[in-house]
Amino acid sequence: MPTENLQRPAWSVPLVTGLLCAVLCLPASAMARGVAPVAVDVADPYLELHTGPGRGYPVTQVVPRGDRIEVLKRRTDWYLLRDSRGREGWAKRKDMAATLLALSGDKPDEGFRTAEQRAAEQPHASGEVATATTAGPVETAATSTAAAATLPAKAARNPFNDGSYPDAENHHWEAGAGGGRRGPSKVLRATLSYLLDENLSVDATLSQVLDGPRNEDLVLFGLTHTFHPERRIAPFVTIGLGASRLHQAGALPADTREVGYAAAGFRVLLQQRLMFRADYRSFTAFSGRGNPKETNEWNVGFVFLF
Amino acid sequence: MERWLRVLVLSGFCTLASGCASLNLPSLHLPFMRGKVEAPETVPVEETEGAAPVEASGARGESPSVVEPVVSRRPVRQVKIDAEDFEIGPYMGVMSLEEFGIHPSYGLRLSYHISEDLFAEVDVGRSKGGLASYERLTGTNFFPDSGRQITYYDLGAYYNLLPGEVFLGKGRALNTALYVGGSVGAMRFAGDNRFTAALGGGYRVMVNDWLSMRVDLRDRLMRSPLPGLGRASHNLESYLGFTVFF
Repeated sequence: MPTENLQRPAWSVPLVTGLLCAVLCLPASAMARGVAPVAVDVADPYLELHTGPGRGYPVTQVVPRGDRIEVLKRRTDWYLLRDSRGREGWAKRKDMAATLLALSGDKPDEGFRTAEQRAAEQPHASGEVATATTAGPVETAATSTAAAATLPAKAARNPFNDGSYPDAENHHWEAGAGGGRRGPSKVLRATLSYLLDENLSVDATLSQVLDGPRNEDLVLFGLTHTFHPERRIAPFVTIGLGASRLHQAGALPADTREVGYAAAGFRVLLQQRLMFRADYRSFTAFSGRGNPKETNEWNVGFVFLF
Repeated sequence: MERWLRVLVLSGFCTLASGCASLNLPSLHLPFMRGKVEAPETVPVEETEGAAPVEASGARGESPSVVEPVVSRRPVRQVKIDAEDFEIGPYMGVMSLEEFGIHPSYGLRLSYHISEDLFAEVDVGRSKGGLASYERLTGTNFFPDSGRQITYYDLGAYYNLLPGEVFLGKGRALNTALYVGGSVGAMRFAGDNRFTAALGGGYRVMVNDWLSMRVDLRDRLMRSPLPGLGRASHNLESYLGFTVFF
């Protein structure tokens, strides 16, 4: 018969209540914010409006180039639009690349001109530059030409940054969950990360160790450094500190310990907003009564960006 | 080497690596930083039509003409568009805990839509278990009544398998989606936390752009709470709820 402690931690009730209240208040605050719709002229040849935000929903209307539309909201890769006659529908982000560029104040074809076309439009940057001998201006011109040459590919991939669309190149938050093993026990983990810069992030993790000789709840705070975050597969290392609550077998009270950990792993970018993540962690307990001081665990899971 | 020493060395390494990456010192012109060396400063020169180009001070009289390329950067507007990738809402239903009967359940879920096909979800719910048949027959209690409260959570990922529409009468169509997926989590019952793995799916009907009704079915597998029974138990839960997109 399981006779492990039946006491629920005293802090769990206010914590859960607070979390529930915060979560329930989120939609209300989001609605109260009331982001006004943005008006723009269609710059793509035409836009197909679907009844829902997905390719499986039927197309019911088509808006031609030049018509004025209002962008009401975004959900994943789809924008809810209203045309001049008040009809609403969802258009895919990829299909309205030129319109979104126009919305950002840029010309629809700005990102798709070649470096030669740009040079031809700027007389100062063509033949006269070739005769210049000073290192500075020549190098600057070469740099700007190289930047222009890389622009089309980048613009096609990420045509418009509305400040709310998160992708691999533009996001601040990551959340993930996963499972793993620590010796004979199973491990569950949920992590929330904030990116300080492209390499460095701070993480908060809630973890549970279950179905083993001892159950354990952990709260961890860590610092992660990701090497080559621009690559599809990127390794990372993490260090951190936290607290662990070890539920003892029998009638013994739970043992709370301070722990430190170091981890190494890698992540793989699966989609623009989804990553696979695997790591190996080594924990050291700084206090506690007679339980193992050092434990190791591995964990795999998924992380999404927002 | 002591474990704490290894942790210390790793900490130092991590801090150093991140520090170097974020500092980006311009004064360090090391051979491997070729791409990061800044161009030397030059004096911008104004050119007038028909006049001979003026020599730049950096050219030291060797250059017949120095022209500053005109690089104009178009200002890009940052437009804020309302993003609704999150979904939250309560649900109510029934849970059938194997051997311990069927009881009402309720909970709260929070979803994040990663793409039009995929969404991640956290469910937190409560229910309770009754008496096992053995307890009823023998009149003994395996667990105290206070331990029969069930609290569970799930972290899952679901795939919108069949998006479509349903039609209400002649002139009204509602968007729908059938989704399937799985989750991992834990269930607290009889004073013990147990690992659960769940499979299931549901059906979402969008009432309008931000409100949906959802019907779900889950099968939560966990180690049976009955003493001495090592096998997995299947615990079915079906529930109905609404969610708000924000």
